[in-house]
Amino acid sequence: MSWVAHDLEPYAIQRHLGKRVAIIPLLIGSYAPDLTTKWFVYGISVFGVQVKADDPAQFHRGWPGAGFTHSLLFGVVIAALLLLLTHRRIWAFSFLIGQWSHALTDTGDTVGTMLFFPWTQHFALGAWQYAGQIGRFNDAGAYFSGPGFVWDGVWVVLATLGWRTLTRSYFETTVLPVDPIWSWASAAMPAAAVIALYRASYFYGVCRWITWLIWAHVLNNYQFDVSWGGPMWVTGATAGGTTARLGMGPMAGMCPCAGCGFR
Amino acid sequence: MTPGLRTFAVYAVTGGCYITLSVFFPRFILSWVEGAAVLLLVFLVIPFVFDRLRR
Repeated sequence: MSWVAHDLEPYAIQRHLGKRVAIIPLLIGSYAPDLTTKWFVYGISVFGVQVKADDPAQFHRGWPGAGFTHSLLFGVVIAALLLLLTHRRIWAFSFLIGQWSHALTDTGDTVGTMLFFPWTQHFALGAWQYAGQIGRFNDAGAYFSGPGFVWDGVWVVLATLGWRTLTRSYFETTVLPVDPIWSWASAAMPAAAVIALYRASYFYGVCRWITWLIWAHVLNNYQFDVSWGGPMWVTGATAGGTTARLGMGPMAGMCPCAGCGFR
Repeated sequence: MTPGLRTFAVYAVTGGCYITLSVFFPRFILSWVEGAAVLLLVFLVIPFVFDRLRR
């Protein structure tokens, strides 16, 4: 999984597509695959009872499970529903682009995504470990120690290089005219607050990238390992025998035993 | 200081405070909703309160 890329990719896409996309459905599409499932991957405590998926990776990315939310078809179906209900092509197209970017980005880890669901083949680059099964904090420690945080860093740089998309003039000339939601928001609150909302995902993405890095390596002592498939000190999940490797993944030479962690 | 630079400084200080709080209380603070709420607090609620106090 990716942590910060999903916050920042929409701004890079916005920069390239300009008035052809609307940022709100683009962001919702980018968050959509995890929107209703992530809490169950890490688990929550309800009145002292722990509610969590038995097999987080299977639930998150697999079938049976909610893995279909990370498929290209899911984006097409929801975009078609959006078009049917709202008759706004730009909303449907923006949602589709956002959701596809999420589904493609998540092929970077060791579990990958079922891009062409209902075909249940997983596509995984295996560049960094999928470690959702060890809980949110350890997952953060692993992700921000391996190639995942470098990948997110690329998006921090790309979104920041496109800083003009975050300016007030860009917002007023390119973002606001294509989506009536911003006009409604402008009628309800001051311009500075509306622009702050437009910038919120960028702000949140950059802040949490910095925060988790400090948390993992200053407050805690997680070891950096940015080698391909790292960090090797964590036993990451894979999609078992159903993963098609797009590139050089950590699965090569790995012990099939889930527990021993031998590589 | 130009208005653009002043706005950037406000975001930078807000981000610094948010990161400091999040590092020590990640369980409670580090989520999208809180991130947006912090921005709305700085750019909507605080100016509104100041405006009311000045009148």
